[in-house]
Amino acid sequence: MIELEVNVCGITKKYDDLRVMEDFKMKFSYNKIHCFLGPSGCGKTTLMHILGRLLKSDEGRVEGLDGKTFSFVFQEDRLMPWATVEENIFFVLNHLAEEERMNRIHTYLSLVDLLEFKNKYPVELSGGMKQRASIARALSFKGDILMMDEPFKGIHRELKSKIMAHIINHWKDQDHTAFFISHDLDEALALGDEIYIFQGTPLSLQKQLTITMPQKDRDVKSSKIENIKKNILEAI
Amino acid sequence: MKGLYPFYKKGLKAMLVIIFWLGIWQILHGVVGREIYIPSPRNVFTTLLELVFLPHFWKSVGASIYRVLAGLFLSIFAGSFLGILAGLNKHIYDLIYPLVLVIKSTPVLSFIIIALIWFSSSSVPIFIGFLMCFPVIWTNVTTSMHQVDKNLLEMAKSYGVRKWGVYKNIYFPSIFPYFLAGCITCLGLSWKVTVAAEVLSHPRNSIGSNLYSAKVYLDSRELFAWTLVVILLSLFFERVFAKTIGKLNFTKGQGR
Repeated sequence: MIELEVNVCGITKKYDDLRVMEDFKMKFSYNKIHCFLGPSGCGKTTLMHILGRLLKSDEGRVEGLDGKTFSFVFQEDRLMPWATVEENIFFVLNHLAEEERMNRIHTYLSLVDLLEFKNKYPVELSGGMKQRASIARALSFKGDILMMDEPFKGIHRELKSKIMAHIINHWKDQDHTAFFISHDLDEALALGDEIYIFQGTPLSLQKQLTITMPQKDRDVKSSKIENIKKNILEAI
Repeated sequence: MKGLYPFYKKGLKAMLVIIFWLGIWQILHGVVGREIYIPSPRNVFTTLLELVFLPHFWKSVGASIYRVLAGLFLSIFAGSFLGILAGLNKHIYDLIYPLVLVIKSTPVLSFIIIALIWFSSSSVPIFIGFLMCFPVIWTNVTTSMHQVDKNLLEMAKSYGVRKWGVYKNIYFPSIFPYFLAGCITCLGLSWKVTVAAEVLSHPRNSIGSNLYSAKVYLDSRELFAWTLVVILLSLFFERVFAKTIGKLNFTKGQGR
């Protein structure tokens, strides 16, 4: 049977005495970009890490993600300091043939404007450049699910729009699913098919909004998007 | 010529430092006034020059170098291997830690005396060198294993990188600087304890036996000359080792 949705079944997660999630239930459709909004520390990252199999829940389970591969963009760049930008990407592409690896590295470093810095070590890059390298690593891996935790921190607006356009045009068009945590409402409105406003702890869903308008046609200044924005701001 | 200037300057400074300390040595010799307590630098260097032309000198130096390196390599091998295992597994750590603690706290002389009962006189210094260096390497490797960046390990896990790839690209470069520091510390330590063990175990060819004989015959010039040999050899090995490892440059470019 082909799974059509991700089902989060009664997840409980504790850190010492802090209950970050308690009997948390939710469903996420495939082939959509799911955007998580909410205050810092409410448990969004914990949810993402449980979905991405980086954390084990104390109770409950996640259905519909078995056998899937993940492309992760973490809050921190998580680059190996002793490896160049190119080698850092190479590291996650070890399962591919040499030529394919080089092609992907070239494509995605060009996308994030880092091709001429491919032989630099992370210490030689700015914070924003490191984050771009981390995005290039995630996109070049081409996992089934794209996980992004505040990926655009420190990246200037034009480049951010370019990367977002790539995600919309290439990632989503290939029927991939993405989860995206952000504190920037405009980013969420530009990318998300489903926007979730969380609160916590423990994590709970305060409001969910569905945007049916294709991302390509969205204009953050249009009245429809403005209305959604107003709706979200009221909920927050 | 301009590029060479800093080298001349550095060399000149080092020379002046050496001359300064030789001067202090000469003054102390003058103040004490007895060759048996502090021989003059000139006499010590003359004795050293005489020793250098004796075949026995080179046999002793060669045998001591062999013992120092044998003890050192054994400790590097065992310390790294068990250090990695202890870093990966808490039970192995708990098992080895008390042994390391005992070795660290036991006076080296106790070990030498025990080893004299167990081994031949030629093997005692190797065993002692190994025993004194092993805890340093083990501790450095284990500590660095515990300090490997968890975020990087999580990143590798998220991308499904195979275990060998994680060891090669994350563990190894993280451990290497600590391992290197341990090796350099051990190189100096190994010379000290190996020669000390030689003094007590009297292998036929060894720097330690010569030190002992010089002491027995109250030949302070030879005592100082052999001590100088140990210092120079220790410094020489440290330099060569640091330069060789520096050229390997392991910590960069390990991504492939």
